[in-house]
Amino acid sequence: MMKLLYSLLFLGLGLMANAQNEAFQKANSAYQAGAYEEAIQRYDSIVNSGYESAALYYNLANAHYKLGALAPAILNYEKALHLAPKDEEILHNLKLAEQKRIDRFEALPPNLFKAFRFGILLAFSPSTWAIIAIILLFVASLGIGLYFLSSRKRIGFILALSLSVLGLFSAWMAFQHQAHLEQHPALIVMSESAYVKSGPGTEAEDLFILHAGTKVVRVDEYESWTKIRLIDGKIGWLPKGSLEAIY
Amino acid sequence: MKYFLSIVSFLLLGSTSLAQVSFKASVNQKEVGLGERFVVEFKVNQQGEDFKAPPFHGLQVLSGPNTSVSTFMDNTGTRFNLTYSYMLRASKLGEYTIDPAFIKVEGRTYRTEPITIKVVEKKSQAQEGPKDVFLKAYVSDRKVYQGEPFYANYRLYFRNEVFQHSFQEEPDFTGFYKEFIEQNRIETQEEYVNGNRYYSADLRKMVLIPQQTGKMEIGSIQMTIPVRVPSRQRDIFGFRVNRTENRDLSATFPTIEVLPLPSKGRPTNFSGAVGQFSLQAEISEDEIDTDGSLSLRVKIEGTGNIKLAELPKIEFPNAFEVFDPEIKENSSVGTYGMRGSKTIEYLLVPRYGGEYKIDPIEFSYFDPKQEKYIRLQSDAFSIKVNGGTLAPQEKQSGIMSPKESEQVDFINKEILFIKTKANWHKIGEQFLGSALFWSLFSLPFLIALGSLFFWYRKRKESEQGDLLKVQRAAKVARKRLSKAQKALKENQPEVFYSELETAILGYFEDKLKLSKSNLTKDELEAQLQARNVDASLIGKVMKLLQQSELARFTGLKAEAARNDYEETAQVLTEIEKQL
Repeated sequence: MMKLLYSLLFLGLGLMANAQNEAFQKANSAYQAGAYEEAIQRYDSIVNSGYESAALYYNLANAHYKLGALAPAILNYEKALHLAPKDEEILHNLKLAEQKRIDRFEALPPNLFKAFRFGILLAFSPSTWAIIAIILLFVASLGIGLYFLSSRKRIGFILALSLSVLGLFSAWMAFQHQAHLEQHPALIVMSESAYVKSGPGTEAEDLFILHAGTKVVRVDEYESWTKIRLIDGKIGWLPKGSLEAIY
Repeated sequence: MKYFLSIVSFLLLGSTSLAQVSFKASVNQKEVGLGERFVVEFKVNQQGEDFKAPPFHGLQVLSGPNTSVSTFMDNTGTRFNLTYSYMLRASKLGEYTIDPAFIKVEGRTYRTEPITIKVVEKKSQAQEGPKDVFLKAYVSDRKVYQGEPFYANYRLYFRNEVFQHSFQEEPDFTGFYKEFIEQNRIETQEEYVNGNRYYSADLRKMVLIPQQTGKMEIGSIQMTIPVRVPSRQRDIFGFRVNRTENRDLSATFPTIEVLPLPSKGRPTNFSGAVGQFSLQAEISEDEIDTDGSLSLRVKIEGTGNIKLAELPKIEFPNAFEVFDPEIKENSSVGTYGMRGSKTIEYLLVPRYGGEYKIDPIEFSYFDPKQEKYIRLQSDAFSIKVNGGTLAPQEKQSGIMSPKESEQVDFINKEILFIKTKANWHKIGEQFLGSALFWSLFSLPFLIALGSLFFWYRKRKESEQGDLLKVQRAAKVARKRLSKAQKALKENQPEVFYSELETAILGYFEDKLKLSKSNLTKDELEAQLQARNVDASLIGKVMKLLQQSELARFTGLKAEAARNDYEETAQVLTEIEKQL
């Protein structure tokens, strides 16, 4: 359903994307022939031309995975997942890649209120929330129309009131989710291993060590250092160069 | 003594000491050859203390400080000399300055003048003709791949008796893994160089494995070796007297070009091995009981950098407990490079019954002769474990950790294939916040506002329409009643009522498009009822008609007439509105 809506929304763009499709096919055949480096180059050139899609990042990640480059593989799986959060193929391959990762951290059990809030907030991506909001508000506006312009006033009133409340809530959720993503961008550790410091600067004490492919969340920034938080709640500073943002 | 220079003396003004203190620095050669040894001396003619030698920047101190004291007498009295001497060597061309040295004599500090030394290209050995001793370094190959072992050695050529070298320096082989070939004794053989007969001996043999790529300088060997040379002097029997001379020798290894391993076609599980290898893998048993154990042995054998090669990784089914493997290594080096074998042996203990398989073991290496990667693969193994329980598929048992049980789901460890269809959009373009989003988002509000506006306009219109109708109806009614009104004003009630009746009937005739002859009171009532006019209004109309009929026969009161006029006007206005 959502897919259909997305494809309808991007139909116009899709029609103009013949050049990308052609390059994509070429890269795919390179992948199939086992020329993963060539495939990576071709996929990268599409990204550099300013276009993206979940399939593109997914294929790019697969090529990196085949070459044994774990960090770029995980980064691109995450990028693909960001565009298509429910895609089973992406989830499967990401899980495989994550098993090759050295770092294993147990996620903190979230508190009940947070779990409830994030359960709703993160149930849909910002765009999906936005589409839900628009559909609800559209039906609500039809209800308003019914109320004012026809004799079915009761149905119109109920539709208008309930759906506009739900629709505005969805729109609020869309912006909340977006703000959440912007405030806590997820990053992937790109260097083979990196010492997490207690503060921004090389003189700071080493706290622990992270390895390639681990996902962290940015909490703060200072000069060329990023303050990060792991899923198990550990906090520390890493040089910016050792991290790359998913979105 | 002619090399002595820069003698500095310090006059001790007012000193009671008879002898002047002199503290001098000297070198035995002002111009020295590269790698040649020379001596620096600091001489003081009084008993000194706290001698501070200068830092010999850029020069290598081979020995020192060596102190010597000498006392002798002559006409002027007793002379005393204290000498600090250093043996130095320069390893680079250029000018060097030996900074002042300091010493304390009777509480005063004295210093020497700085000395400048020039290091020049090695001065040719005094002899004409062939050298009597020299050193040469060899490599078996000047162009090798990264990781490809090659043989290197350096050889001493000599014509006269030589002794154990007194000083030797080898390069540190940065960028290479090196392994010396052990020699129990150094063998000497005869060799002709440029038609001259020499004895030669390989002082050092080694195998080098380059770890970096590019043009690699291995470096040079420096060595000082005592040689017995015949001198011009003859002994009392007429034989030549042999002298022993120290010779500084050096030899540089040729530059090696190290090629990087091609990235094209490099297998993902490339072991780093370069050479020619073979792979053997065997399993001790292929059918065992759950209480038994079996071993898997993998052996890599061949010529090449076997010591640096990684053993293949083996994925065992979860149903086996794998103990730390035993790794055996066996390698030798020689002029052929390096050869040997590496064996890894796993001990497996089954935990569950069933049939399991171990994927073929793969080992890949680079063959520098064929210049391509070679991939070796063993057979796949299948093991039947008799008895015992079957491996749990889902929930973890006491033995398996949750992690392992998760991995059970991923028996197929290959990633899924790529996608072939893509929906493109510009990077950073997002539906939320886009122009499309805002326009779609505002559409429902526009629809709501639009319907509100339509509703409002319609209501206004209908209100205005009503007002117009009322006004028009009133006008019509008044027009019809104008004659009756006139009669009312003239106080002629009879005329008034007849006019009133005419006006009412005339109004309905026009309104309902009926002919006058047909219109009776009853008929009018039926017509009005058919047109859904309010029942009370119909009643009022009927009552007015009745009254006007009645009034013509009964006595008339101006007061009642006024009321009837007003009511008629009202009723007609109402009727006009409804019809």
